[in-house]
Amino acid sequence: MSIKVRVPTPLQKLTRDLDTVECNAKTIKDLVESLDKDYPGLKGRICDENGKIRRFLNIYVNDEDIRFLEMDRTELKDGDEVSIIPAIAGGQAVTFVSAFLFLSPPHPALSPFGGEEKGEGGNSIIWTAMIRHTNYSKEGKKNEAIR
Amino acid sequence: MSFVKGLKCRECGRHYPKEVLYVCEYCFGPLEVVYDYEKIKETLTKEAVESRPRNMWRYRELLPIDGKPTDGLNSGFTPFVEAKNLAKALGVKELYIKDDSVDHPTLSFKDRVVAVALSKAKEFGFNTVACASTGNLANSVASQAAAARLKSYIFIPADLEMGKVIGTLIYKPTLIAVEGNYDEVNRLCSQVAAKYKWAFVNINIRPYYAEGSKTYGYEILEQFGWKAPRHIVVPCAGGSLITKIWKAIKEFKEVGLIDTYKTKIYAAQANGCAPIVCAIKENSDIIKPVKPNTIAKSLAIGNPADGFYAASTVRESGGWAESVTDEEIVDAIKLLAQTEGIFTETAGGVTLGAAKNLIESGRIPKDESIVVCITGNGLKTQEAVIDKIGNPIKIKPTLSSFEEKVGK
Ligand SMILES: Cc1ncc(COP(=O)(O)O)c(C=O)c1O
Ligand SMILES: [Zn+2]
Repeated sequence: MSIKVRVPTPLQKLTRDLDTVECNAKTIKDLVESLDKDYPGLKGRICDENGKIRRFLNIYVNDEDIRFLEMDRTELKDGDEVSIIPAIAGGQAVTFVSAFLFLSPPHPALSPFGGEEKGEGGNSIIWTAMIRHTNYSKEGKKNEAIR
Repeated sequence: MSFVKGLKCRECGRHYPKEVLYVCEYCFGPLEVVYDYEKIKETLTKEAVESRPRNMWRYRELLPIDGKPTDGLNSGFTPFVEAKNLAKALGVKELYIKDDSVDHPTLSFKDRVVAVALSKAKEFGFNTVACASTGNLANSVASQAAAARLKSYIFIPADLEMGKVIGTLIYKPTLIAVEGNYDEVNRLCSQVAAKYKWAFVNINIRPYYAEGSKTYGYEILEQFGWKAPRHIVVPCAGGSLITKIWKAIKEFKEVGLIDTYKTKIYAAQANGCAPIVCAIKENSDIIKPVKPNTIAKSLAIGNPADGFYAASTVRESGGWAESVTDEEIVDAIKLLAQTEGIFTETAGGVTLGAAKNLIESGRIPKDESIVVCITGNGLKTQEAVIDKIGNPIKIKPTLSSFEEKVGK
């Protein structure tokens, strides 16, 4: 049973600079133990002294937050993808391309400013469109975690 | 003169120097400012505080700057109103409004956190400040950055109320309206913060910024007569304010400015975004993120950064939590206006609505002192009430028209 695990930048020192590692495990709890065997010290970073997943580390199984599943009892199956992401990085398994597009304001409240934002004040309003990619396998890109 | 010892991880206790740091390298927990309370005790006496100007910097020893404060010199020391009419309406004996709907300069309690953040950002040598905001923070960063001659980049969800948008643009920041909710804005900002050398007030200098909220708590204690009230109801978005009010109470006890406290803290959120209230009611350690859907946009944070600590605060103090419907929010806004003459924004409606429910359900006893935290101004969220307050009576400029339409 092989599970792909995405490791955030700050923990890659322990995984010999790998951002993705593979392991075998039946649950998240298992997975942590298994990772610690291959990469000693990893468990201490992922779990606190009581063996609980650290509060400011979010874990996703195929993009679903384990807080919505069975926490560390969440079961895993062959081919699952697990992402470990510090909460401070915004904590969601979403990579996105943020394109700064100059669109018309989507908010009717802004109509007083007219269609174009030239305005003498020179205030800039930049409408940002976020394109979300939740599919890692297709994207093949690592989620940007905070350094 | 600094009373700050350094930073410390709230989770694992590791110590860090007082630099631009905000997350523990080891366990990813948030960092918090640590003070030298023994030294603070020597200068921060009641007499000293009372002799100082009436603004938030009168508690300067307990704020995380090294030099002189440079921003928000007129922020804080807002009215502490004994709300007799509202008390009567709710059937309680002793009720107070801590009224930050008139905080200077942008009419919300965020002026306090921004005052500290900008003073600190300058000490760190930044010339650009930024924030991710649900609206009030946007107003305050834009305003105070303009006064401080700093550049500012403000990120907001694109669907904010007009008052919040105009109240930001007027100061000429770079305003970025992101198509997404606050949690998405915040996530984007973490990435921007990692790349650009800006002081993101609520990201990379968050440990310092958040300390500003304590002054709201200090003022409650001073204005209540250097005592702690029994019950405080606090609105929660990211969960920072409620945590810092609790810290303020503990610190005042620590430095001897109050003798004791038996204060219970209550969290208020909207039904459409109540991750903290849910965790408290379910007695759970886990904050489950939600997708916000409420008219209380200033409180619409579905994945609250300090949610765990907010819930712990409530639990530790023996308080409770309540959420309210959008309709209850509007009713509470109207109730506060029509009893005390104070027009609050949706966040204030949430707080008063929750307080009302907590009193009615018996969670808050009717014969003990209660403080309701009003943290923002109603003129900024007019959309919430515009269809629910009637219309002016239109008449011709003649006495007969007046008597026909108005007179009896
Ligand atoms: C008016 C108002 N009250 C309360 C809050 C909640 O503050 P916190 O995020 O610290 O919980 C906010 C946050 O934006 C706010 O704008
Ligand atoms: Zn730590």
